[in-house]
Amino acid sequence: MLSLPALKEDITVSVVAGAQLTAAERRPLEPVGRHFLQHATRTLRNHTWSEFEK
Amino acid sequence: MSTPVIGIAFGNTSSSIAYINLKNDVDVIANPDGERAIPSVLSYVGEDEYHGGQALQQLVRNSKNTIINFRDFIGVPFSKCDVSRCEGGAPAVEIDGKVGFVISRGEGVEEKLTVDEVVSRHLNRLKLAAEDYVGQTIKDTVLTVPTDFTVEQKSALKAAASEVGLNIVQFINEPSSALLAHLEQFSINKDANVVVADFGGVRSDAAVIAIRSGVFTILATTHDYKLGGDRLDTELIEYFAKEFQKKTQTNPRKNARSLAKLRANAILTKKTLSNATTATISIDSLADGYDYHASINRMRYELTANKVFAQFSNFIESAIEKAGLDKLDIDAVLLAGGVSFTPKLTSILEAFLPESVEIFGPQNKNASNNPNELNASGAALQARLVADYDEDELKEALQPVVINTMHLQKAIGLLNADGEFVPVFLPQTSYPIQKKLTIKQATGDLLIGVYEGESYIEEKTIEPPAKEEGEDDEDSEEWSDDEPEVVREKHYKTTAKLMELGVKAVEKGLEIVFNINREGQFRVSARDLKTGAVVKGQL
Ligand SMILES: Nc1ncnc2c1ncn2[C@@H]1O[C@H](COP(=O)(O)OP(=O)(O)OP(=O)(O)O)[C@@H](O)[C@H]1O
Ligand SMILES: [Mg+2]
Repeated sequence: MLSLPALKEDITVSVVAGAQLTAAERRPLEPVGRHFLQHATRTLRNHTWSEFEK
Repeated sequence: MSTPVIGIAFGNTSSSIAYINLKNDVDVIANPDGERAIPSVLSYVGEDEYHGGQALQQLVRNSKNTIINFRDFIGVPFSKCDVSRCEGGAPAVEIDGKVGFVISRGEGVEEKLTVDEVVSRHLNRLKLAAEDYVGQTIKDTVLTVPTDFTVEQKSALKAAASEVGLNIVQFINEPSSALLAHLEQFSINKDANVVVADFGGVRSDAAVIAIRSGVFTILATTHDYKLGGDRLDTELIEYFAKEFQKKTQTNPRKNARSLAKLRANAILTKKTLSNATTATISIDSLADGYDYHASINRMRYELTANKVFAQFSNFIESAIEKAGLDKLDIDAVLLAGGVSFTPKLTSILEAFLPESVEIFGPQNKNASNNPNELNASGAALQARLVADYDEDELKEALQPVVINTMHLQKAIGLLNADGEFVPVFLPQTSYPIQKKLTIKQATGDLLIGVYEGESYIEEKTIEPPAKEEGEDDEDSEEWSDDEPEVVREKHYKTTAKLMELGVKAVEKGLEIVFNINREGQFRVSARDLKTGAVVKGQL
């Protein structure tokens, strides 16, 4: 089980200035299986995950 | 789609058909002769056409009219085909720039068949077998193809199928199909890198596949068009031929019929030795009227075919290298194809891969007993899934904008209490993506440090324990365990800090969500499971 370190400074959110993800690469997915088809539906209907939304 | 959609795996050596039955199980369909691995062979005796195992039997007496190993030739110009594969059966000739066969259909009646026509007839026999079994007309199918099949090959296949009223609703890659079938039965609920190794009759194919949240991305593929079960047969044939020659002073290799008999028996012996530790072989009148009776045990066979087995494992190693991965990056090897029944294949892979790599072959209780049925089973599963789509919907789902997605190049994760990087998204995760971690036991004020990271391999040399006096006996020479042992381990390190979130006074657990949307925007949110309070950060 993952356990997190204790909070030592008083921060809520601290995003590193100018932080960026390493450039991603475009590659084809294999168009098979349930999970791919769910991805297709999400993409086509422009659905996203509604995190913490009712 | 109103009629059942079947899945077909069409190999150079054998083909299988499968569908999802009313109980929602994958059913690999047997033809009227009870064959589930149906030899991809057509044979003609006068007006009669034989298919499958019945056709294969004709190789001894009627080889000139027995068509074998034709699948790969569809949609490829004759000049680019290695037609030596057809030796032993009807010779391949050039017809209209394509591979073709000239078949005798009785006294003075010749029939010229292009490979397209042969494929049509073969698919038709498969279709009829499926209809016979299912009791309904079959119109649609999902067909598996090797990852290196070209657009031309696929369109020629589609045309050949449509000649016999079979509509190919989707082509899927063989390794992805095999993996789909495997995961349906033995799901792994984590992201993984899997090598799908398909050892067939005339060729071997491997694909390194990243599974990320159930979606597959092929990282690399390799192909060897001269490595397969036929090579094992050749080793056995040579072994038997030598033995026979020693006994009888007759060379059985000189005569096509003797050779065909030897080949048929070598195949049988090879298959027997996958299940049993000894096999007997008995051929009446092999050559010059001499019979041949012998037996061979598994160990002798494995020794005889040693070179070929080494090639199988080198082949897998080359696939891993081509993907730019270390052996330790691989979670499992999924063995597919008929040769994968061979126990030696599993043991040789176990020997050269780290212990952390699981070998999913018939010797593993968490894998199918029938590796040669994985391709067709996956096609059937896919067929069932797309059966709910109409043509336009499916076309839409297979558009480039859906398929070609961005893939992360680094891992993204967080630091645990020990300061170690724990990946949440592995490299080659495609986005949009979301993952949720629930840490039930989290309490107090906690730090969520979010980083990019990468893996590295640490090599440790472990010196053998110092010898106690008098222990230095003769055994130590034989068991040269005294060499320092090199232990390789995979670890992660952070490469860039992205953000930190602080959550306070957590009482009853925390839920952390990592999310990257289609535009590549990365967000992390942490929710206190008791109070519902949320902390969010985004790049
Ligand atoms: N039980 C078994 N033990 C060992 N080898 C077997 C067994 N069953 C089948 N084979 C071998 O597997 C090979 C055929 O495998 P498979 O049916 O996967 O080939 P294929 O996909 O039709 O051919 P290819 O991949 O070359 O196009 C043959 O060499 C066959 O003899
Ligand atoms: Mg194959």
